Amino acid sequence: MTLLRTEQLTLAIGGARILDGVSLALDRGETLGLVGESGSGKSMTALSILRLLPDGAAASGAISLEGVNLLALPEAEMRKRRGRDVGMAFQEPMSALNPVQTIGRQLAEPFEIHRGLPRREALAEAGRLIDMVGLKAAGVGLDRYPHELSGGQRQRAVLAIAVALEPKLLIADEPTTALDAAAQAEIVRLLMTLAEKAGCGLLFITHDLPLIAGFADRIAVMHRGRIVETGRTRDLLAAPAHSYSRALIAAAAHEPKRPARRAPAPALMTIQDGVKSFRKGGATRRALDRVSLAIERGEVVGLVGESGSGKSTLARALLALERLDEGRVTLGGEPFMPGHGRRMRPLRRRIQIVFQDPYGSFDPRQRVWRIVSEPMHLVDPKPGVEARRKAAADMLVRVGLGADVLDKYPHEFSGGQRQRIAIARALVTQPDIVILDEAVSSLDVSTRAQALDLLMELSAAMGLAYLFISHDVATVRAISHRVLVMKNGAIVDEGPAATLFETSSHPYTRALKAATPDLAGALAARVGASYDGAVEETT
Amino acid sequence: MTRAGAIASYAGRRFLSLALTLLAASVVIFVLLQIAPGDPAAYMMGLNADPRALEALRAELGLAGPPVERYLNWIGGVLRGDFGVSYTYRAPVSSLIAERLAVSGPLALLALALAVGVGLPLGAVAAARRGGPLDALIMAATQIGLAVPNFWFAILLVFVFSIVLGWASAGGFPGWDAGVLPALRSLLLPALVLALPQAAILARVMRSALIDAQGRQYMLTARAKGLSESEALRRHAFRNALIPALTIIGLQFSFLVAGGVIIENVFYLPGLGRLVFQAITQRDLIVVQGVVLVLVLIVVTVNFLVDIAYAVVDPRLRRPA
Repeated sequence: MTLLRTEQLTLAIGGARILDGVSLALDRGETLGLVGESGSGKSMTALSILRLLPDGAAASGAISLEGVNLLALPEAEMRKRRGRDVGMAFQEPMSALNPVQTIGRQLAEPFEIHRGLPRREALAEAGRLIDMVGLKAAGVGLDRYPHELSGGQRQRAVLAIAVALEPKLLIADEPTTALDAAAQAEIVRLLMTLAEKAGCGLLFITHDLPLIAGFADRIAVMHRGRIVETGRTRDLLAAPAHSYSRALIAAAAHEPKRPARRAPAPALMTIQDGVKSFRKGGATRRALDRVSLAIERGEVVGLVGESGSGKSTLARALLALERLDEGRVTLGGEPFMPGHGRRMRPLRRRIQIVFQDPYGSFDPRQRVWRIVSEPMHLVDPKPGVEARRKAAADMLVRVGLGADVLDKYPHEFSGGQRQRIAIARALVTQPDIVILDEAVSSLDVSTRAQALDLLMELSAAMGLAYLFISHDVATVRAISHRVLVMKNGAIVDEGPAATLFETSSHPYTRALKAATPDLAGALAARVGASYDGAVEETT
Repeated sequence: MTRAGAIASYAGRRFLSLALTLLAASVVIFVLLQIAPGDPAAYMMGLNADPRALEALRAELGLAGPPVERYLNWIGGVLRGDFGVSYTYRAPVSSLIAERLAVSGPLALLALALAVGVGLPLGAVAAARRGGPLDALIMAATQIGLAVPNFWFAILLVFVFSIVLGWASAGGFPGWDAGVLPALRSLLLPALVLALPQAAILARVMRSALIDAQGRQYMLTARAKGLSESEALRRHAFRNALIPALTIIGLQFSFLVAGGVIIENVFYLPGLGRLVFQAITQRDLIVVQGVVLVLVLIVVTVNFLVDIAYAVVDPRLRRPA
């Protein structure tokens, strides 16, 4: 019998139609990848299955789990199935765990709820769980709190809760989005092992097509509340039938054109022997450990490394926002250090930054023209309102938004549009170098491809240099001229983007490469795997 | 580090800052009262006092000599438990304060217990029934609780419970020597009056903190485990919501100890608020100094206890030094 089947699932929240006739099927032991952009209805599909929808949501159609229609069950019956028959792991591992309760208590809870175990016995079960998900091996005990764990460890705890009672259906909603490549690969491996052990069906929700291509049996593509196409992973990726699937695959495989490099240009920005230490809990940790680097005019330098490796500290030092313990930063040949001196202003104008979350870096009560023209106070003499509006309008047109958006507010834009506003703000002072700190990481694949194209175009047209900070190795490799690999505050590897990942002998660089999902590679591997399956079936 | 160890080390650091705060406060209090207009000796002797007698009285009261020396004398005495002698009562300030604190302290505690006992559950119920009629009713009641002037409510209670029903005394305080029950009986109505607006504030804070917690993803995790909405609220949201509520409770207690002067007057209670009020009008500066210092001590102690409570509730604050 099919494990899970949704038929014509339709969901409306306050008049807005979120899901429009979603029909899915999933067997035991099968992995179904549900792929689509943010807002396409993936998470709402998951929450509908658990019947944990927000207030005011009305679902119709049918969701059957082993033939029982979940939508028709009384709440008490539904509650028995949550956690026992259906386990769910949520996206943000930090917010998915209760910050004031120990990991042990939170892992023990499913056993208390569904098996009625007393606290002691439930904790013993929790001990078994943390061993199973590899937390025990990492030295994480039951008495730890979520804030004491790394992102990957938290995600392991979240998975442990989801699989505690060996559910028949496991739903994972973007479980690796917040993690770096290495941690992501580990979590996926763990998830597959756990699902196999429990013999359950796995519904894996993601926007990352290359990632899901590596392990899903089938893929369902979701767009605007509808399933536009479902098929076996290999077939769907090789011959997508729907235009949206084709666009999604094209976007994932898209390689932005990196700007042409002229012969070596003079160094624009340098940092020499930069050292920065932070005290934490009595111990001193070096966030920057003798870092030296030079960026040339018009050069795109990629910087990869796991979270906590010192990338952001380096960015802050280059922006003269962080006072170094040792070493010095120069911009255009002049020393560039924290301070507000008259000398610093013309220098500050020449370097700008785009952050990961543009919404968080905008004042929600400022109109777009104010946001974009804000850095212009660095320009001497200070331009008047009309000049600033004009500059903002020119730059907004340049990034592909019309001048008619000047008087709108940030919330009126989509994520991709907001990132264009952030880029316009960074470019309005005509800088020589822009730091892109995970600037496209939060965008959907198709939007990301467009944003990257725009950035490359602007660099070519304006002679801009970029420091592109990202944990996305594939993108860094595609757009950079040169790549730096950072670990524990030091630059451990460096080389031309075109060859570094193929030829480097540094173990960390190789590990990063191996952990990076890539569509073509995943497909090639799958063709081999399904041959094995075919052989097994015939014998 | 163990949980208890982490809390203890945190407490140690907070205690150090408490001691420093007290020292700084004592200096500020002393300096302010030196600057304040009004000479206690002149006030006591009247307008036509002989300058030489005035001088003698000043010396007797410890008002002569350089300020630094007088501060050191005062603070040295305080450390030995001697707060000086009241100019008007001619009694040791320490015993005056102790007497009044025996009324104000229990009154504040009783009022706070009532406010917490009523406010937190009401806030929790309102949050659990968010948007429903019960929520609307509770929120309306808290609006009224905040809006009612306390002296008017006090008079109303006296009228209903002591004059019409005769269940409680209309005012005055028999003293603890007369037995615990009669004393508590006379504190009950004033405590009710003091508790009303505080309960309303707590209910509103608790409600919004719980609603905030309900929107967090860990609540979705809790529901996905199979907890019912109210179980998830109790097991996961409540403790998170307690953190903002603790802040308010700490502020409320400090306010209640000395902020009840109007209510003390309505109920003829010999409390700290009335003592300091009278001392100010009579330029009994030594009493004012003593009372204010004790109030500061109470405020910083309560803040200290609230800090410890934070660390107990929220593990993120228990970072080792």
